Amino acid sequence: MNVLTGAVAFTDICGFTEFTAVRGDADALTLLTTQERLVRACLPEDARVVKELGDGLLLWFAEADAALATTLDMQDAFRAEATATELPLWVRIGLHWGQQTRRGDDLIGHDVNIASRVADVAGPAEVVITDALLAQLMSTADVADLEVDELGPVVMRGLPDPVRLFRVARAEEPAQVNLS
Amino acid sequence: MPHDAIPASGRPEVRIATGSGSITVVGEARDDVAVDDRAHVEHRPDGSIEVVLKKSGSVTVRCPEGADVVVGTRSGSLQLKGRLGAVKATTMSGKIDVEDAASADVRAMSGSITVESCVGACRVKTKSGSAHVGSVGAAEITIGSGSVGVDHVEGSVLVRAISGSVTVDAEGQGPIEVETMSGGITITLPEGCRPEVRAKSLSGRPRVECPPGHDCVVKVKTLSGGITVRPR
Repeated sequence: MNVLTGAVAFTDICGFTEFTAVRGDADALTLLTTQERLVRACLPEDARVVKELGDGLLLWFAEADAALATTLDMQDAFRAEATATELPLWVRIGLHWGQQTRRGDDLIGHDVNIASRVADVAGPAEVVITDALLAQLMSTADVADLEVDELGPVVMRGLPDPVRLFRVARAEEPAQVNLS
Repeated sequence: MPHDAIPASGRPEVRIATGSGSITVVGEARDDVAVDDRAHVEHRPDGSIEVVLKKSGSVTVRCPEGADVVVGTRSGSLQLKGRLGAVKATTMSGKIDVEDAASADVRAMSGSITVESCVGACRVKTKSGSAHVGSVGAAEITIGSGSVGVDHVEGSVLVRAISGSVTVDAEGQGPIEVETMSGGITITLPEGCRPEVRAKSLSGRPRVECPPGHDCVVKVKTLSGGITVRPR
């Protein structure tokens, strides 16, 4: 068994099914291609796209700070592209820190499942992270330039215990974070 | 009669999480946090007060007016009554009703959301279910399938709706941005307001009944649905 420790991110395009119904398959393909192009352009060298999941992506990062910085960059890139092209790149992103088990090129495990559920809680253009990711981040990086807003103990489908989730954005003013 | 209570002065933070069951939180004139016999209350190291549920099922929590509330349930409705401070509420399945909050971030996977009054920023997200906001300072609403109604907003508005109509009555004191994939958009502004409207619809010509100007920016876009920007 090959166990990794790192950050897992799930991205998901909100409204992809409706977009495809209204605009057709060709535009839907453009939307997916655009998402993947922008994601790959943001990824650091030691991160990777693990797999595509319909209209979403599973990403893996070696470091928590790189994971968060990259996903925030992605949201900036999605916003810029949406403004320039009129494509509704309404992407939500969930991030979690933990252990993952390799299965070929894929990653599986409880912590992967948590990241998937976190993405469900996020809204379009949001990055939502778990307390585990935030704790790892605070142990290795300066979070003063982040706006960290707790969403609360969130009880998610399939997970026995509530998980503290935080909405994170780049702050205009230095932030105070209380993780106790 | 409350079963358990902790004295709480000022503006306490009350935290509640449960797997299943409805939760009612009441902000009222009192100086403690009190619960019924399904739960007990305890202090956390960070100074907040945690409601620990002993039994599944519905629970009612009574707290001082203006208390901050962080509440989550997997399945069950959330009712937040009376005047509260910052409200953070999530449910995977069930509706959320907030009567009066200083600010609100409320999220449901499946269920309608109502926020009657929120003097500050009001963030609402539901995947399936309608969202109705009464009087708020600023609104940020994301909805999957269902309608969005904003009765009165003072400041900025950001609405993204995948499938469903959006109606917003705004004072125009902040930027207004509304996008839908499938659903009509109606923005109502004060009489005499002269907005700068940037509207785009793939189905029909947007109707802008307000005189053009620069009082506020209104950006509206829909892939399938009509657009109307009109005076009150």
